[in-house]
Parts: sequence; structure tokens; C-alpha cells
Amino acid sequence: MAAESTAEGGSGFSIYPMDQFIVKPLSGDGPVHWYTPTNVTLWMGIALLCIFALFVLATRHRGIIPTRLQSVAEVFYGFIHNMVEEVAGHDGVKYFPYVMTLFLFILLSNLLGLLPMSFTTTSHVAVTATLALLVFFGVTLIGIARKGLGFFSMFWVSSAPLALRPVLAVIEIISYIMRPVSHSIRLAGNLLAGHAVLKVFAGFASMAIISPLAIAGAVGIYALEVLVAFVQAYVFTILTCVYLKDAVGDAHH
Amino acid sequence: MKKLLISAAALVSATPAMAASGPFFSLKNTDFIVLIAFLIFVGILFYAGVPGMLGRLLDKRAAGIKAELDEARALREEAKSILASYERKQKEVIEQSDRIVASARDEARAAADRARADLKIAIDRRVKAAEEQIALAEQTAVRQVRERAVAVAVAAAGDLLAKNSSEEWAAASIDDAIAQVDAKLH
Repeated sequence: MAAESTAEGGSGFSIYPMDQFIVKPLSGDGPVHWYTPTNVTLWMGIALLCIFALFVLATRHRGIIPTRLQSVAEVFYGFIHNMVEEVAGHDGVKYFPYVMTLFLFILLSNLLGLLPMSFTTTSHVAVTATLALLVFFGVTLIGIARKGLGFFSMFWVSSAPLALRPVLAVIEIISYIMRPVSHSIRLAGNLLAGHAVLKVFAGFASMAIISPLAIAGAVGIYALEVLVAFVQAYVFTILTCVYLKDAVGDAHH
Repeated sequence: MKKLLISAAALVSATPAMAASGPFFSLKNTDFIVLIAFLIFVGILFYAGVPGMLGRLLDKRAAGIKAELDEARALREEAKSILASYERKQKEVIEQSDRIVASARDEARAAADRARADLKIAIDRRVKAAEEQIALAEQTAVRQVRERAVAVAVAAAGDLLAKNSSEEWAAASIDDAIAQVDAKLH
């Protein structure tokens, strides 16, 4: 609640752009334990319901000629399947279900977060870091399981001069370990910033004279945020595929 | 669906926000402003015909799939009919060849029968000719034997006559013979 301390400044605006990210228990106020159902729980559940509706209910007829919603599901499926096959290679297709799950969960969370008064679960680093760490450890374990110790040879840049290799190895290892950081913060940061800006614009509307301008600005941000919702889901997914390639593809560093 | 989500969201998250910033329908309430912005954005999307466009794209996809299916089905039908016609042709050819074989067999059999009959006739003819020849040879032999017997008998009679007769008997017998001939001629 950092915003509260800066509120009620000299300008007369009372803008709390970060209030929307507060995690609250669903039933009244109280301490949030790890088992407490919160608005995060709710919106994750809604995201899962939407995915269920799109991929189970909309495709339950299994029509050879798809209905509109089944078409949407098929387009997403084909899109992610192609992406995995092209980026991670043929061996990576085995892990397509996980990549697809990540994409759908992030996309639906992003889009649901755009509804007014909803909660954007992917704006929390806690959520995106969990997803990114699962990818990080998953990729590392798959790599070790498939290549054994040879997996670590990707840190040893054999095409570089011998004297430089130890230095490069250190840099490679650091960059590898930093992957989940950039992977998660990119997504959470984009969503957080977009929603905060939206709220800031909305806050400016409290002054009646500039409220049309502020609302117009908020509409513009909405258009941007729809784009961001898709792009960030896409980026998270394609980075997962790129990391997966290190584990399943031929070493080429 | 969307409305349901919005109302659920309003139930869940709007209550504390309202408590913090007064009445909902107020320019000071950022949730209200965001809702307005959202509705305007969705309105613009509808005005620009984005949902219709998306629907058309999806319908086009479905139509494309349907067209491909129909084409595939048509190709399958065509292939099926071609297969059927070839099968029919094959059957015809088999029947024809069967017919040819049967007629050839019949002809061969008839020819064989004819040849057998001819052979039988020929054999019969040869047998008959041989029998005739044998009969002829028999007759000839019988005649020769008879002639020979007559000749031998005549010779023997001559010898006997010559041995036993005298001059007068010979003359008498000649006279007798002349008389006989004379009596018989008249």
C-alpha cells in the first residue's frame, strides 16, 4: 500500500494505481495464509474455467467442420504446435502440452485482467516467477536427463579461443541462471505497468475538465493492453521453447 | 458470460475499492472510469466491426475446411468409381478369357472326336480292304489249286490213256468222237 502514503498530495488527485494488485482474502479482511482463498485464487480459477470452456465445452462435438469457438481453439493449438516444432525442434514436440498450458494460462490471465475491476494474476511476480522457475528447472532436468553431463557443455563455448572460454563459461552460466528472472519479470512488469498506467489515467478523470481526455487516454491504453496481453503470452511461450531447445536440440553454442 | 464475470468481479473486488473511494458512479472512482473506458473500447471494437470480422474469418476457415473435405470426398468417390469400372472391366476380361478357353477346349475336343472318328473309318476301310484282299487271295489260291488239280488230272488221264490204249482203240475212239460230234452237230 505504498500508494496510500503518497496520496492526497497538493494536486488534489487521489490516485491509487497499485491498489488493484492487493491480494485480499475472498471472505472479508484477515490474514492471508498460504491456503486462504484470495482474489488471486478466484481469477486463476476463472482463467481455468475459460480455458475449460474453450477447449472442452466448445470442442465437445469434435466436429470435423469446426464451429467458431472450436475454430478458435484449433487456431491456438496449431499456432503453439507450430511454434514448438519450429523453435524447439522435432524432439521438443513431446513437451508441447506443457507449453500449450503455459500459453493458455498466461493469455487468459492477461485477457481476464483487462476486464474492469478484475484481478490480473500475471501481474504478480510471485505467479510469473513460479511459472518461470518451473520452466527453468524443468528444462534443466530434461537437459540433464537427455544429455547427461553433456548438457553442461553448452556453457563451454568451443568455438571461442581457449583463453576466453573460462570467462565465457562464467558469463554463460550467469546468463543461464538469470533466465527465470528476466523470463518472469518481463511478463509481470509489462502487465503491472499497463494496469498501473490505466489506473493513473482513470485517476486523472477525477477532475471533470480533463476527464474526457483521461478517459480517451484510458481507451488508448486499453487497446495497447490487449496487444500486450497477446504479445507477452507469446513472448513467454516462445522463450520457453527457446530454452527447451537447449535441453532437447543439438548443442550449437 | 462476460457480464457474469463482470458482476462477479464487481462483487469481489469493488467492495473494498468503494469503501476506499466513495460512491461507485463518480469521476473520483477509478473503477468506474476504467469501466467507462472499457465499454468505450469494446464499443469502438464493435463499431469497427472487429467481432464480425473475426466471425467471418472463423466462418471462412470452417468453409475452407468444409470445401477441402468435400473435395477429398469427391476425389474419393471418383477413385471409387474408377476402381469399380476397372473391376468391372477385369471381370469382363476374365469372362471373355473363360469363354475363349471354353470354346477352344470345345473345338479341340470336337477336332479330337472328328480325328478319332476319321481314324476309325480309315482303320475300318483298311481292315475291309485287307479282308477283301485276303478273300481274293483265297479265291485265287483255290482256283489255282483247282486248275492245277485239273491239269494234273488231265495229265494223269493222258498218261493213262497213252499207256493203256492201242492204235485201233485210238482210231476207234477218234471215229467215235467224230461220230459223236457229227451226231451232236446235226
